[in-house]
Amino acid sequence: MKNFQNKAKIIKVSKILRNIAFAGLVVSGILMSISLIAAVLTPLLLKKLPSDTTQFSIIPIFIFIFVTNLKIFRFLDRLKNGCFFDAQTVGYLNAAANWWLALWIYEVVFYILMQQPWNNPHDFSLYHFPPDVGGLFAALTLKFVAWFFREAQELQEEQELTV
Amino acid sequence: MISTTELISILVLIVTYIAFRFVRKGAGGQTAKSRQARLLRIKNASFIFSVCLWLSFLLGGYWFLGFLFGWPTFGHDIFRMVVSHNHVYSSPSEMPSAIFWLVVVKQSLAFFAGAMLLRLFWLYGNGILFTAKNVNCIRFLGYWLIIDWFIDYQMQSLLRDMDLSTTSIFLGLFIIFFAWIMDEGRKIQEEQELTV
Repeated sequence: MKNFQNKAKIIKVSKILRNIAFAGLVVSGILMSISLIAAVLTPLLLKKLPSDTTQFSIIPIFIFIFVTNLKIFRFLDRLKNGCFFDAQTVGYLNAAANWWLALWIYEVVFYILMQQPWNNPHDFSLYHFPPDVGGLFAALTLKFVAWFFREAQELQEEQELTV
Repeated sequence: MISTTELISILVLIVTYIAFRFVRKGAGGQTAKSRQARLLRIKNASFIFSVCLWLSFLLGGYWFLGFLFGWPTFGHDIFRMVVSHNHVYSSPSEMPSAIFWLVVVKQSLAFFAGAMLLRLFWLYGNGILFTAKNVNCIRFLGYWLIIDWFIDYQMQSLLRDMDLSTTSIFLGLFIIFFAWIMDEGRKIQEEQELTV
């Protein structure tokens, strides 16, 4: 298969993935807006409702999800435009990994803070933590891929410059 | 849900990352961004990952065999296997037969995936970065994540205790996509090299 056919194939798939990422971006944007509105409006409209910090502390989760989605979208957008693994494209991938990592850390903090106070401290168990390790694994994998591609790309640039 | 083993693995990963950053900073001052320095960095990272993988192999293997044969544990009275939120087993005899065989398949696949990762890092360690072998290893890891998710899905649906995230299935697809781009890039490079 010729070079341009290979490239066209990658661009075609990147376009599909970019559209999926765009759908994710829209959904996470809606979720973020709803959580913001709910956090502000609920105490105003339902004054009898006991004040709860959950509705405020959940907002950063949606913000982190939105920004991670945005970075992945931008990365796929660069691929769609035919910029394969140049500094900026890899930069977006690395940024997505960083935000995903931040999301996971915040999730852990969030679930620790939101747990019911333990009646008996001996009941405390790690099994009660809901954030899945898949998110952390995904973030670290993306970070490794980004780092590896950056190294390889710089290696290639040096090779091209070597006479 | 985080089990103690997973938490330890995460801590090992974080410590490795921090240690690697220190090594990198130390080396960065002396060596310029030359080809040799980069290759050395990739080799160092591959070595650290390989050591971590061997450690997880040993610990994971002992844990799985310990669970199967009731071997002694460190700090706990008995090995436990978490299949879902409300299904934590302390011996294979407690498991329904279908779940037991699914667990065996899942663990075998995980060990095989570990072996593929070791092979990948061995290739990187030897300075082989973009070959068909590397791509095959990466592609296998993508497929493994998807198959693993389906095994989890099957087990949890049999137990009627579903608690699954779709992250690993998306990550698997993403990894297959990366492997494909790497493969296409490799083909382009090979074609370019053959062009006179």
